[in-house]
Amino acid sequence: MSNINSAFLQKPASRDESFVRVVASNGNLGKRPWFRARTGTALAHFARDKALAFILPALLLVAWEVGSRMGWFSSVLLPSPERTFGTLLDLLRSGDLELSLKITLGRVIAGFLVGSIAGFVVGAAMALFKSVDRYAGPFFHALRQVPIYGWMPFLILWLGVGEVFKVAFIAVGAFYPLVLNTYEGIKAVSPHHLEVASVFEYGKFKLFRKVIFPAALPSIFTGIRFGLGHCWMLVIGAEFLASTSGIGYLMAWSRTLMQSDVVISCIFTVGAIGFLMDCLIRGLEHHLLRWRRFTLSS
Amino acid sequence: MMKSLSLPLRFGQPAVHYGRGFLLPLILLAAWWIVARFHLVSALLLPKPEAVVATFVTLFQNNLLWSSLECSLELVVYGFLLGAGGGLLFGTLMGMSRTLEKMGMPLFNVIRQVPLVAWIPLLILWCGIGQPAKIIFIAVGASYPVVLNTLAGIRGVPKDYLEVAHVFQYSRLKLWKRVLLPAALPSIFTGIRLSLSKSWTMVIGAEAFMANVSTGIGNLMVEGGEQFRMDVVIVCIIVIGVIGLAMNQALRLFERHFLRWKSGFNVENA
Repeated sequence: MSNINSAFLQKPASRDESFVRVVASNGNLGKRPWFRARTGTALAHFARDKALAFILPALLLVAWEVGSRMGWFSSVLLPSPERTFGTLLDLLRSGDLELSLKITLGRVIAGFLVGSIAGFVVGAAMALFKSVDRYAGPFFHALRQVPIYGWMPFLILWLGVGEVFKVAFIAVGAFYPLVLNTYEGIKAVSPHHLEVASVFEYGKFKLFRKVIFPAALPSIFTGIRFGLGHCWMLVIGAEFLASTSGIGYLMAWSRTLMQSDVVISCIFTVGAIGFLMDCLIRGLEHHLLRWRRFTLSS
Repeated sequence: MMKSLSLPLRFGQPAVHYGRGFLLPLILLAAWWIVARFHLVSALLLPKPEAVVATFVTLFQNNLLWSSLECSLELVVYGFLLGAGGGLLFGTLMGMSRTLEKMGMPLFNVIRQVPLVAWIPLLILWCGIGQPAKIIFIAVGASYPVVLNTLAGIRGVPKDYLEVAHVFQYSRLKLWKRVLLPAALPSIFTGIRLSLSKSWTMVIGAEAFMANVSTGIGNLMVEGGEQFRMDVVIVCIIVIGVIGLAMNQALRLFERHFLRWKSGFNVENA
């Protein structure tokens, strides 16, 4: 196979050369643009890639600025970049944003903890005990078909529109991904690891703590990241409809007042906080799973 | 052939194992019936199972259920087609060129950090609360999984396949048609399936957050909640769940049919 390959690669016909390039670029056809020329150091490549990433945002920002100066769109619907940025700074300085964020984050943390712990327990029980899986599995999967927003009227009727409702609603968002990923993580534990554990005559608790749980942890972390993302989205939704505080309420209220600059500032903040939370979980995962990198590299 | 025949009863398990799945729902149903029958919980909060069935029949007969479903499904179809089509285009373009990927992906990832729901106030300001706003909302949500899975599918095509294409001296068009797209198709299909189920989730959210005179199933449910009609809410939850399941299963079947060459390929080489 390698003979055939090298024979082809040595052939100097121009058509083949273009195909070597296709192969090398994994489907990237056509001529290499000047800014992708394979010259310079790795640092230059890195800088070039980063510069490419800023082209589109810069263009959008310019279009936004020019558009608002030329009056292409109503300043009520889309205020100028300076005004939006100024509003964001004002909101930060006055502490309004901080206060709303604190309330919202408190709800997210409470809902996430309740939902993820319940999800972990259910997922682990379904993966570890076949009978639980057989009895509860189909029901769980049927329940999962209902979109989360579908539970909202139901939960509001049962729990009112207070904090309990919000925490329960957010918890549902963390519950499903945790169940699924815990289940899959445990099911995917290598039989070899279990064999080793049985050789060492591990007890059931030790087996779970020393073998199954660590092996399932990467998958569980995937569930945690998905779950936290869901929670962050659901809290905003819950605050739109049933709240008088929090950043979701701030957005909905400023929408009613037609304060687009506040709405855009809030969208920016919500995105940034969501991103930071994801980074935090990633960092935690990186730290907790450092033993994994170790074994892979050595 | 034998394998597909014995598929419903995996590993020769007796059918009773499959009956086990119904036990928990049946117990819950019995508990529900007892609680409702002896008024342990207010009938407002938990109507009797019979009442829910009766409401279902009424809603079905006076066409309310069907017309709301029609309205919601129309939104889903438009939003899904727009979003999945746009996502496919965007993902394929970025798959064709690494430069485009380096330009587009960072912005896409930044935008993706904002929870979809957070766009709603801005969307309402810009587009109102009519059907177009809802379709845009659904389309944006539907496009994310398609973009990600299309790009991942194209980037995940094994280099060996490209080398074979090189050996056969395929033209660019043929390379895409015969190698890259078919190899990326399973991943693209996963994206489309995720996208459809997301569209269905989002239509309920869209109708709840952008409630207007339009009468989708989400509106029916929210209104039922506002009027303290728990029976209507429960009927809607069940109908929404069943439709979601049906859509997912239909797409799975379609996928299996469409990608049947894949299993054949695997079997021959296993």
